[in-house]
Amino acid sequence: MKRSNTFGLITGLLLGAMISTVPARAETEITIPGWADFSGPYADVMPAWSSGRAAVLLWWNKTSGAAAGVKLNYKGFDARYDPAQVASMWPGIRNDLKPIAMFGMGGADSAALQSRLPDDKVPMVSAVGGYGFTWAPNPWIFNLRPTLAHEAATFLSWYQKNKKMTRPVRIGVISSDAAPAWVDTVNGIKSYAKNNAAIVELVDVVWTTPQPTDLTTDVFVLVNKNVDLIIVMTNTAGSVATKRALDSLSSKVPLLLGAHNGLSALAKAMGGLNLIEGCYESAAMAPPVENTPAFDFYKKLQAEYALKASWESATILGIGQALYLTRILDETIKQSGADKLTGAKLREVMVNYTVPAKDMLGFGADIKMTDQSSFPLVGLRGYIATVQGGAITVLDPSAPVPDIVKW
Amino acid sequence: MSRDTAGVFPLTYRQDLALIRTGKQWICLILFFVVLAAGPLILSDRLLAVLNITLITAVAVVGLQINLGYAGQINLGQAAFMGVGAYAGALLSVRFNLNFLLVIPLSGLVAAASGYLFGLVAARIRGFYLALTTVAAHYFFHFAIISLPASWLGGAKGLSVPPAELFGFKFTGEGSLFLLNLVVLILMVYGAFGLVRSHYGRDFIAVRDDDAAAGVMGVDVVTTKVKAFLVGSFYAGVAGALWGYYLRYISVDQFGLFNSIWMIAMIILGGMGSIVGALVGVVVVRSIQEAITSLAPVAMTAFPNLGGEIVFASYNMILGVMIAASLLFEPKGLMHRWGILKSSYRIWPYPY
Repeated sequence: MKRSNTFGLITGLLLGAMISTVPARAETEITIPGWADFSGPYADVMPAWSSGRAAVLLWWNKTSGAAAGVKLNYKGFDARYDPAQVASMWPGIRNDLKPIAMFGMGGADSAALQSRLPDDKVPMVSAVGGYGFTWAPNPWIFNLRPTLAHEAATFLSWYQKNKKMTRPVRIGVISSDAAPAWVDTVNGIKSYAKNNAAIVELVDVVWTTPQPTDLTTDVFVLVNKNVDLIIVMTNTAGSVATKRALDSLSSKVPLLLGAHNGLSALAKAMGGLNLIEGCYESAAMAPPVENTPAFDFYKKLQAEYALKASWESATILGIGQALYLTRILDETIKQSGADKLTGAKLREVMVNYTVPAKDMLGFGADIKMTDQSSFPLVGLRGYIATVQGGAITVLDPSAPVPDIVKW
Repeated sequence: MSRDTAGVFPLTYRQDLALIRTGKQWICLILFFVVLAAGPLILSDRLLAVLNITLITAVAVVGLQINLGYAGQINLGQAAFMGVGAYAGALLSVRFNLNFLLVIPLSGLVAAASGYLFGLVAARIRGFYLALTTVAAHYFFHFAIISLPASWLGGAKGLSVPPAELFGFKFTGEGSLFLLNLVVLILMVYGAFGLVRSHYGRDFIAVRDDDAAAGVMGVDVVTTKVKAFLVGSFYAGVAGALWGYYLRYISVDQFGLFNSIWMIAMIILGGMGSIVGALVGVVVVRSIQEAITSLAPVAMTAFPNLGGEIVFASYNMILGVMIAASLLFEPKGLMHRWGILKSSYRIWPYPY
């Protein structure tokens, strides 16, 4: 007995010594850079946007990351929404951080990096919509949302069905040629109208200044042409000027706006939601309303992961893009292992794997990127919201985004 | 050159005209070029990227200095001419498959042609009216790019530019692009010095100082003004081509009116009527721009009540403050102050 006890003790000690010399599982630390704008035109919304990104990475570290032995660090870089600034900062970021992916902001970083990322092999996930010029093969920049033209088309096909119209929806578009992105949106709407004559008839396009103050004459012309709807996808100044013109003409023609110049921004400028009853907003992202799965996740981030930003579009964009990237990371780790993560592998997963809607926690539908475009061409869904009784109401949280012939 | 204890005195007309007067100055200049050429070996990619944009901007600003600083023709459309050069370069590279050695000067010529049109206008008007007319260059450029068929100039989509290539070597890295931009800048600055020290330069200065008197003295004022725009736009076009090869994607919104205003600020700060002043102005203003961008997030963290809109506005406020302070305290620019310092050093301990 004594001999067996001694033997057991020695065995136990030896085993303990062996276990203690096995190194603890090494944690892989990865820094994800994110383009930001703290000193440019989007400086106001950047704190909320950045907080959304950072909070999701913290959440992932504590959940999937802990299990995989991977820790993500977020680092924001202020590029002032200037392609020159992005171009000058990128080489240093690439060499210092050796990123495997990054967060994009919009047109400026897309313009500066779209030619460089294929060589540098670092995919970029952008939360804003795509553009006509990003609808090109072999993308390394991926937009979670389609173009604004797609989002307008989502509403138009929903509107016709919902209003049980047997004729095309007659639309007028108010835009400006000050920014190529706005011109691109109009070109997309024209393409949709041309190829879906049964759904929509584009009556007229009004080109105005980038910050219009009075559009009464232009809106009068549209109203006289009996449009069913006016689309304004430029900026808040455009939507305010159009709404004021409609009010001065006592016209009930509804407005369709985008997420960036939408109902909240218009209400703030006009003086209250009750003043914009009947206006619509459409976007392929989570709606900025409560009582949704997305809002529940936001509350969780707020309570447990130090998210200080309010529930608004910018926060939604930040959370959405970070969530998508972490889901792609999960799948890449599953396929390749946590110690073999590269940008090329992440990109391969992005174009081959569909992130299911349930994994996006209400921040998107099934997302399947493609090698033919920077944004998904199938499977996207968007929300349609309006103002009813002085409150923003989501009429359809999951309207299908229709196809548009490439323009 | 006579070098006695009383100073350095030229003994021939050629020596009197020389920009580099002494052997020591030659050594300093050569060492400076050697250090610059070694940039890709000693500087980080981030610094090289900042320098690349600085070098490209410097080419355009040197052209603007000739146009505005030497010939006195106010030009608020330099960024638009740069855009013309960029689009010309993109089309020549993509549609005609030309090498960058041809693309760069041809882009300059295309931009010069557009500048020629404004030069004709400049012959009839001056001052405030000329400034507004050159602002129109931006609107013409923007309108042309956006409104013409996308298959011609890319329209709202912009144009992708292939990298510059020489015998199979592609200029894609920051180091190789730095050397390309540096060589082009050196050539353009050399040309600028030659131009302003020739009779063309004397004509420019005469027209700037008093075009009526210049006309009476026999200077062809109209042709001189047109030439000033031609040369300034050529430089802008070359800078535009370099910009296209650097960024590899060009869009109309990269060449806005504010870019032209920044270039004017660089000339005012550096010193009107001085090629070196233009270069100094570019370096100083770019350094300030980089500093603001680097400090903005720090400021917002340290002072959360500051608000993003204030930080954003400060970027442009600082531009205004720089121009105003420069005009108030040193209207002749930093080069004038440098000239005073050099003279003081040479005659020290005497005050004059």
